[in-house]
Amino acid sequence: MNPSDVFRKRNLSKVNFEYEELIGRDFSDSNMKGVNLKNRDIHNADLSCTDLSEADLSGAILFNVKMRGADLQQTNLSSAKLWDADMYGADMRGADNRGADLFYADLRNADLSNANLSGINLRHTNFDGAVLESINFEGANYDSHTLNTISDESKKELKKQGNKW
Amino acid sequence: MQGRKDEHRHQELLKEKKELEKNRPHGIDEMRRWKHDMGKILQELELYNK
Repeated sequence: MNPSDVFRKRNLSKVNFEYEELIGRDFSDSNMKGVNLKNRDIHNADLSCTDLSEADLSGAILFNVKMRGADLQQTNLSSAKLWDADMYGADMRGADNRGADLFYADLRNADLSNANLSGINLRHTNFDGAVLESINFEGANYDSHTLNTISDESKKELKKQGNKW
Repeated sequence: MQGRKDEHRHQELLKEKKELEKNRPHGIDEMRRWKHDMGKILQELELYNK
């Protein structure tokens, strides 16, 4: 058994992670609903298909994390650093992403309905196939690459509310 | 001449971008540097999208 398997496919929703080293850990397929990981450094971790709904990940360092297919409904990701994060197909309905940094993140086929993306960095973020309904883009930074991955309707909203880099 | 020079720089930037994409670091300081370097390339590439 690989030491990193300890956290895989577990119910971790009641675990206190305060004294745990989390960098590069494998939490895939686990239940982490509502956990408090505020301001923690979790970069390179595997959170694929993990239930992180209602969790507090505000201010967390999450670059290079794998969050493919993760449940991020109502998750607090405000001010989180999600550079180059793999969030393909993640369910981010109603997530709070205010001031987060999604530089180079992969959000293809993610569902971001009703998510708050105000003040977010979306430079080179890939939204190909993502659901972007009722999004708050106020003050979001974006570039032409970001625009090329979203629908005409969302493009209009992002241009109206955000700032081109 | 100017157009050819611009295209040459454009190709150089795309090559540098590809290199950085292939060499993603794992440490926090290296990742900050990666983001900074990639940001600069993207900023210059934006000029070619106008």
